[in-house]
Amino acid sequence: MKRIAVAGNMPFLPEEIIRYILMRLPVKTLIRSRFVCKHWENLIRTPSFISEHLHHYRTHQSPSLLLQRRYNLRLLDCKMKIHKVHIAPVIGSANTFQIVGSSNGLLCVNVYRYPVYCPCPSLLLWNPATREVRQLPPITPNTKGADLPFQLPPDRRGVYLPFRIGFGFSPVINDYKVVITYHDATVITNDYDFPFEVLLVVVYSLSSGSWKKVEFGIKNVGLDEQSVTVNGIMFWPGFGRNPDTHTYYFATVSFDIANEVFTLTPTPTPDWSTSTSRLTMYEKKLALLSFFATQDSEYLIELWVMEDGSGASWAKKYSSCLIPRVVRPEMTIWMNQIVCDPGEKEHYKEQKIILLNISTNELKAFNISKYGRGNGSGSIYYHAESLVPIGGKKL
Amino acid sequence: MSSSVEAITVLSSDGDEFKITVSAAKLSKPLNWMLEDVCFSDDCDEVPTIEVNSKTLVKVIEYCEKHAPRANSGASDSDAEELKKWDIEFMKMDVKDILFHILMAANYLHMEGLYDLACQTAADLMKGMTVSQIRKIFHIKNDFSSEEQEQLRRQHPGCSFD
Repeated sequence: MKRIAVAGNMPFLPEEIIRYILMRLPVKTLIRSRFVCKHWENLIRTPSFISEHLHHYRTHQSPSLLLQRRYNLRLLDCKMKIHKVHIAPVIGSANTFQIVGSSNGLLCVNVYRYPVYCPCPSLLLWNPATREVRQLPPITPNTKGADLPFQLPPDRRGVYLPFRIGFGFSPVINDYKVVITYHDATVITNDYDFPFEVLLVVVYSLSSGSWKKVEFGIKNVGLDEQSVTVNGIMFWPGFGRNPDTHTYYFATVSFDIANEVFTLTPTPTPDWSTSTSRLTMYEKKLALLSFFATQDSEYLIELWVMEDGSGASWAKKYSSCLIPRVVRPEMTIWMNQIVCDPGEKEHYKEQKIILLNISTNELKAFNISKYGRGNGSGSIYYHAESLVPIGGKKL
Repeated sequence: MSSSVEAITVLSSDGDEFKITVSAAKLSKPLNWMLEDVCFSDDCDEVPTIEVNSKTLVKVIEYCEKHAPRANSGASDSDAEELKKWDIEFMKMDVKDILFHILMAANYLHMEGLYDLACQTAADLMKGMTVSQIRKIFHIKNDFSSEEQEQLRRQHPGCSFD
């Protein structure tokens, strides 16, 4: 007689099944579940469970969007439900913060004292789901080099050097890195100072817990804000200058987190002087949202996708209808729609973000109550909650 | 045996007889093997036993029969929507009484769809439970010493052992 598997009267669930159930729980419930028994407590802490849990989340649901306007943080989940993110980690004399990167549930946050401009970023890694915070070793111009193998270069105009920050994860080395590029400030448009010519790059690795200097090795290039990491490669939008013709072109600067090498690649965007671009992710590939003027009051958005990792082949995936003008918006692409936090005055009072469906071209405003005024300083990141530990303290 | 067999008879662990159609049995590898045995062996009198109790086996077969047409031939989006709704209704069951038995059965019968569905149902139930309710449904004893409890509490202010 054939017999298959045995199931008794009251099933004692084997670990395999317990794991499979726990993997599907939100972090909040998992933290509560650690109190159930020692076995569960151990299981939920193991690195293999933490990465399985993250992997399950990433393959079974879209990430949420983390939206910041001034001091307000909101999480917009894939069911279009808004969640408040309660505790903003602010330390020392700092009174405000700016999210500068998001990866595997971890946020990289620059904390500073407003309105005093801070010469050097004071950075934290923060896991909002587990409420763990880790302060990165400070970098200040006064540091005598005790912990730092480098000195910050002086600025020739006697003002602080502008900097850009990137944060990302490399599956190759299973490590998180923070990159700061210090720039010479060069005025190249009438609108704003654009950080040009990288003078110094410092990189922090979470596994080593320290900063080190890294060669940039590229001339005639400037970086814009908000880097994006795709498959272990960090990308910044930026532009290059042709030293012979003194003309500019849009480009991306990439940084391989594993081997710490920078590369410059031109991007397929129109005239640099009339458009703004943002890097984002589309179908797990690097994508570029380019936003440019067609007429006085109307704009057009194009979506370009990098087809291979080398940056050599970009394909245009979408071109929008004409939409009302906004100035230097924050943009990303999420669940088949372009999400845009407009910088324009008429919009920012309304506490709304704009969603543009790329299949239907439908444009709609989405209200975020008590979100506060935007002033062009907002930011949008993908965020998937996780249990990833950072060796810090609980808030 | 010919391929004209449309259903096979199986016994539950309680000794009750159940009929399962050939197309439904294809949702489970072990059931499918059993089916081939029945179809191709010379001695067809023997009724195979599945070590799943009657109450659970009824539900497992109900799931198989419902999902068989889609699994075997593919389905339109509207069918998939309808099936999703059916799954939600199907999973409205008592945890201790039957859900965990279904979990075990789906795991051992290699029924991926039902296993995923049952795990997700258990996880969704846990979201609204206190620690003691979770212990109760999983039949787990609190084995932390008072020092260990104190330490965990310090790590997670606001969490409770109850």
